[in-house]
Amino acid sequence: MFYTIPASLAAEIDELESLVHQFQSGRLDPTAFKARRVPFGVYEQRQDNTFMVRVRCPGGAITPRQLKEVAELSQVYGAETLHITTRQELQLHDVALPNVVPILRRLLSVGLATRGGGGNTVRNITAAFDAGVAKDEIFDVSPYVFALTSRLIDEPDSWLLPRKYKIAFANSEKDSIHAVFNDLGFIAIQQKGVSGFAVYVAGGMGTKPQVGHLLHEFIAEAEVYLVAEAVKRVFNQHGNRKNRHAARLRFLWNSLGEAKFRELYQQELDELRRQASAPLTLPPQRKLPAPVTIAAVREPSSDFQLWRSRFASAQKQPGLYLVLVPIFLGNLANEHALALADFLLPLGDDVLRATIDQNLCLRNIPEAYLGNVHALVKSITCLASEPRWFGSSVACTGAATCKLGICLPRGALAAITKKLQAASLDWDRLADFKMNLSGCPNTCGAHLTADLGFFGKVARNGQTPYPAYGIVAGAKLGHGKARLAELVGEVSARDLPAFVVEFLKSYLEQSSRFASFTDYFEQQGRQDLRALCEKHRIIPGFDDDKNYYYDWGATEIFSLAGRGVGECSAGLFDLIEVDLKNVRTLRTELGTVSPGSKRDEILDELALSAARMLLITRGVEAHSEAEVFTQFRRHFIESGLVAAKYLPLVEAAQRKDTAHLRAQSADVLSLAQTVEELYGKMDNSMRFPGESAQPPGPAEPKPPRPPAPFAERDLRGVLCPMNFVKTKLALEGLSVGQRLRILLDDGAPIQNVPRSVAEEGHTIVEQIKTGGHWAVIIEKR
Amino acid sequence: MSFFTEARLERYSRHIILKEVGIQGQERLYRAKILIVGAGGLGAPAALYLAAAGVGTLGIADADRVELSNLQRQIIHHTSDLGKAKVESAADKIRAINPDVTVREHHCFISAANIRDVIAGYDFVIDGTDNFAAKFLINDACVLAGIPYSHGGILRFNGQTMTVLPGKSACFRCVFRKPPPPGAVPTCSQAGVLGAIAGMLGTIQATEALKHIVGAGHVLADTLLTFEALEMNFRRIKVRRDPECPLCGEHPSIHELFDEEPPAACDLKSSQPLTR
Ligand code: HEM
Ligand code: SF4
Ligand SMILES: [Zn+2]
Repeated sequence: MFYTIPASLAAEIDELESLVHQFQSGRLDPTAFKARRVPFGVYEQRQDNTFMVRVRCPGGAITPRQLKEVAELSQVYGAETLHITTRQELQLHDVALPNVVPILRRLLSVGLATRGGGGNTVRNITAAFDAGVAKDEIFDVSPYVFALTSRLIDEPDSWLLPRKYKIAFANSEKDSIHAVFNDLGFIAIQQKGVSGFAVYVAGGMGTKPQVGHLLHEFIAEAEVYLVAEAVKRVFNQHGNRKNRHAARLRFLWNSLGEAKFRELYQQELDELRRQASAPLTLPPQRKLPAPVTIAAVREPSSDFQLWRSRFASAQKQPGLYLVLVPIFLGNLANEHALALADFLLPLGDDVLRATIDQNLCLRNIPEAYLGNVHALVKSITCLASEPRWFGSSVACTGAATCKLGICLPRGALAAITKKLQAASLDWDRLADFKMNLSGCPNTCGAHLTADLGFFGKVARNGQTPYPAYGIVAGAKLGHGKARLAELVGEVSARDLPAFVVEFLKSYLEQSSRFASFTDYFEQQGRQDLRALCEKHRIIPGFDDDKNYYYDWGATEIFSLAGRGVGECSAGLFDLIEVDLKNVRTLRTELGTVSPGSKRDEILDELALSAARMLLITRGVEAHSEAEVFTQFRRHFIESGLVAAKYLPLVEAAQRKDTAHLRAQSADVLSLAQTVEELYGKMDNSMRFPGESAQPPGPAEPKPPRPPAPFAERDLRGVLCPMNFVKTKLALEGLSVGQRLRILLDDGAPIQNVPRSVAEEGHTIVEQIKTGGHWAVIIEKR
Repeated sequence: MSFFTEARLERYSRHIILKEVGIQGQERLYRAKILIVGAGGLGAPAALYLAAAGVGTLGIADADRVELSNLQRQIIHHTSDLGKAKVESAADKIRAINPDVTVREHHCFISAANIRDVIAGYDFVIDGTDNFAAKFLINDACVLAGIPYSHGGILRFNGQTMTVLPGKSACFRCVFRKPPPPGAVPTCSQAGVLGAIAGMLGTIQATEALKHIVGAGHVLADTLLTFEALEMNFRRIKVRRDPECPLCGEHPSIHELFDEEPPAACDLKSSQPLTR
């Protein structure tokens, strides 16, 4: 056990149990119930009434005994895989509500808590995965992580913060844990021979990402708690509880201003010092594992040597090794987790950490057992035979399950990996290169902290949208020099794999001239990236190569229809801006050009851009110029957002009646202006003034959701064989091993569809009758 | 918007439920471009089925106009189309069957001078021509351009077809080195043809094209399929790539396209000069 669970947790779980009963019997409304369960780390998945449970693992630490319990619980109550999160937690998925409380109780019995897994709470405190064993660390930060966790989760005000509170500990100035991108980051340093921490505050990703500000050049080790508590109090008293989009600590820093923030903070700190708050009680030094007696597997093969050079490294403790185990997208099969736990059990308690790359890292492994580890790891992950950095990429689910998603980053990552493998260059030379992908400008895939990062966006070739990625590069970590990756350009999704390979190949060729990738980026890489963007800038037309209009892993032509409702849809704003810029330029040009065909063209263009500009806010997409106007009429004129007097003008533009536009050029201008003004008044949810508000979001913050475990189709009322046709269509969108849940009518549908599905080689996992219909779960072959 | 709207799912449902076609196969069909040379006895049924199947782009190459004697077997043309260009008449029917199809009309005689441009960009070609010169020209052009195609021919109660995968399977010249001397083979106008066998053969050719596009089963590569409809005998004849083939052999002598002498043509429409 790595942290102490407050004695009150058992009673709180009892209380949650009674809330579950109340909810199930309809006496508690869903919103109220949600507000209570989320701080328990219990999130609802996309599918109603299935939940995920996030287990607190400070610094990613979990004992083999605990891992075994979690994996067994997942086997009994959860999905087939456990998920490793980017905050070093383990997560169970697909848990039915009645099973939540039993899970929490059993976790408690092995010293694990889920409280603070979500909601506006002190979140899992992260730490460098090699804390305590790295040769180059300043000192072991793990005891502080564990002690601070135990202390903060015992304080009632840790559960009622304005927003989440993320804390991280780096064990050296390298800051591999991204402490500077947390609300509070501690970086181990030495000053005049004394160990302590540099402290950063108010960093974070997400909307308005920013590097944290240096709060203290240096604090003594004994002051860790005081600092964390003082910041928490400032946050608690002054944080914005009204607008959850402006609630994180960094917004508070920005709205108060640095001086005011520091002043408030200093008051709290002084107050705590006056009260002589006790410093953290550090857990006792962990003993090194007792000599164990498992049979060593010898593996002299070159395969083993290569693997060892990639994934194993000597610890500062002589004879002991740190072994990185890449886990593809952080999804660890229950049986693999069990196999790992069983192997690790005899090696001690402190042998495992989860990493923020969603991988695992074994530690304290005697050299003699590296062969055993290799044998085991090979059976768990195919990434074990690839260069180490291949397994460190993070990619969010993107448009596959996220409604803000624009692209499919996991498909892109697979395509990139394939291309890298085919290029057969010495990719190991890139060592700890980091490449991350997000499906939209939100940073769930952490692209802004990568050496090379990509985020999904929409580009247009004429009228036709196609999937593309914005390219960021050159993120820098480390005390005093951190910065986010910088935007350098964009490339079509189609060309992304080629782009990556060309770029990295050229970097490898020049790398000997530079001390690091970041040096290269600054001196040469930025230009190289821009040149490559230019090279890939023009894409073939739709008729010449439709591949450019399909995203990686997509079976449908790329489209924006249906997107754009939801907050923070930054990628869509981009698109609006393109038309806006167009409208502005055309308006200016119109003022300077004399009557003639050039002027007519500008009028045409202006009407088109103005009409198209805001269509995306309605989730519609026009495939032709004529449709732009039809949709504009429907969504803006008929809805009253734009005055009806523009109708004749829009109709004329649709007919391409240039003479009419010429005669009414003043109206074209004022239409453009109207649209611009409308955009100016649009809120973040893409609503315009006077629009009947969409149902307001739940009072309680919507947590980031993990990929849905199932796709779902309700095919009740759909006759044979269309129900089978639609099932096939739904399966098409999934990747092998993913599941689809369909609802079918009794009678011919249930007799035919599962049979036909099975004949195509897919697995029928479950078929249950509920009420008058059937729920069938299919696993894609 | 997805290609698979409600209506399209329903239109193509009988394809989609086939394991060998499915969603992906149907999408491939939509992305495919198939050229039919000759909107006559073979081209007519092939075009109708390919259109119904949802092939995204169909090219029709033909220089002729619809004549009364065509209507006995060229079922894409109706009596009301008499005098209309065949490409136009065919395109109308295709669009009426399936608006998903983009039709490209090539209203011209194909010849060594233009065939390269006509076939460029297509994924598969169906030879529905009625004379040997054209058949050899299509073979040569497709093999040189690397475009798979289906050969087809009919006479009286007989038909033959094979599918050529350039560089992989026997081409028409591997099997029939050059056109027969003029007069050796009777033409349709002299010999006649039972209209329905045009349907039989053209439909086989359409099937080959569909199989090739969706990647299902095995096409008639290295296989000459012949039938004789009076007794309804079908035969599969194994053929092989000929290392001596002047076109696709080890030491090819044909590098440029050329028009064979226009000898044994189908001159059912004898009023027209044999200009192909
Ligand atoms: C509704 C759609 C969304 C989904 C499905 C989603 C999902 C996720 C997931 C799965 C993670 C990683 C958790 C893990 O470790 O497994 C994540 C992380 C994150 N998400 Fe989201 N998210 C969504 C919306 C957003 C929005 C709107 C923002 C901000 C404007 C955002 C900001 C972040 C940030 C900052 C992280 C942490 C990235 C890091 O630093 O590693 N997310 N999200
Ligand atoms: S919101 Fe987050 S999860 Fe969704 S696509 Fe964007 S980055 Fe990915
Ligand atoms: Zn040949």
